[in-house]
Amino acid sequence: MKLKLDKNKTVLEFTIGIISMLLVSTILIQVKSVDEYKKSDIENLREDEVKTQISMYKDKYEEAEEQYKNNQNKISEYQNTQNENQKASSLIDEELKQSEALIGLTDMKGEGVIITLNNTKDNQYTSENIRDLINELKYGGAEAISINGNRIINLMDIVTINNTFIVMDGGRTRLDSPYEVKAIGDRKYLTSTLNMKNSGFVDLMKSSNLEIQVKESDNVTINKYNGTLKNDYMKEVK
Amino acid sequence: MKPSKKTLLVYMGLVAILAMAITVQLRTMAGKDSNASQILRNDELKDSLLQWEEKYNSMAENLNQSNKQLEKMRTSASTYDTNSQAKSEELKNNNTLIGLSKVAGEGVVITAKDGQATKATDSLSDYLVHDADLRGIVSELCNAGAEAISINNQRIVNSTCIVCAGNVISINGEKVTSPFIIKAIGNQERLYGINRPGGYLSIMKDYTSVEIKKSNNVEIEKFNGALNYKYAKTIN
Repeated sequence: MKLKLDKNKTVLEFTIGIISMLLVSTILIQVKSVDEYKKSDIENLREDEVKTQISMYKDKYEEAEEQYKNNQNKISEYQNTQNENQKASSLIDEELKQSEALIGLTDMKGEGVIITLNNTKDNQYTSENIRDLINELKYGGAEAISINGNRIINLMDIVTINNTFIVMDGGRTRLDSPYEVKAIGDRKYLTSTLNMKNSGFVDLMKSSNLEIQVKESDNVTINKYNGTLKNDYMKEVK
Repeated sequence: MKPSKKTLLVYMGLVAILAMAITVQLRTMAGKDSNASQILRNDELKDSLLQWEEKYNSMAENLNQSNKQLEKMRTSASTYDTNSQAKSEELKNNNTLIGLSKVAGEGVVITAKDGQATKATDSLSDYLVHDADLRGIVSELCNAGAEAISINNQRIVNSTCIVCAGNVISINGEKVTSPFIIKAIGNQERLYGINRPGGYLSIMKDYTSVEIKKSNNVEIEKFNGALNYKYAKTIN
């Protein structure tokens, strides 16, 4: 008698235990899906924003894919030449060359645009104007830029000294009107970026009585950076 | 003998609580779910955006992996002779200059936040940190000899542009918003000098909240995208 009752009780406890477990796991799953839903917070985007974002991600994806393929090729080359010292070192040479080109230590050529800026009697170009132009060119995908023959490299400064003249590269180079700005990149894209109606750089300058001409070219040549690069304060970390 | 009333009551209470919790969850989900699926149905674009974002993220991860592998291959290849060891060092150094490796060193950290309009007549836009402000700060840091700069962990590289993208700012194609954390490595005193009266920071302080701090160990992440030339060719 006593035994039978205990059995009943155990069955009941078991059933309730299993039900509770099921309920708890259901809750956990639910909580998780709600969390994941929150992650994709895209409902607030406008359609054109979404479109720009898509094209941005497409571009970035394609670039990353290209670089990835390059890397894979290099890796397989390294693998093939692992026992042949000479070939391996020529691969390093090649990579070194590529990195120097990315810094701006080599002369470059390609299609692009040449922009001429002239001060007028009414107004003068400021260093901020020139920095904005460079920012716009980079937005238009410029790969190499120079001003009056001076290559723009990463973190290059262009500032006004004493409210009178414009200098770049830590004061080593003085810039004067007329400014000739050259850029290599997709020339159609570069010109359309600069020529955007009203908000584009060309219209903005013209509305402040400044002179600007934009010319497309098949063959823009841009000189290498001639200074020395300093790396005194930063150290690579893993 | 039946289970005691007390035990039964406890069981019932437990089950009731769990059932309620599930109902609440289901309700929240139902509301959100229909909302989400509606948006996705109405706008395949957004679906596609998520796909591209995912595709890019996984490709970026691949790229990261292959960079590491390549680095290993290079090291093992250069162990054969000292000449290529030196070259491999140079390559590493170049990569820090380009922005392709994480770096650390002394420098400054600047925090710029959107300000609060105090009067109803104030223009809200005056109190925001704009793309031009960030360009102004970066320009001053460059002038003070910064060797590496990042804004909200976006490394400033040669192809970087800082542009306005509606109500946010886009850097390296990524959206960044206030508060902006601008990190720079270089000579601490010179970099801190951009805090001078009449400098860009002092102008910004009138409307927005700007802070600059020296640090002996500023860490700056590497650039995550790809850097390569499509239109420009090297002239030998």
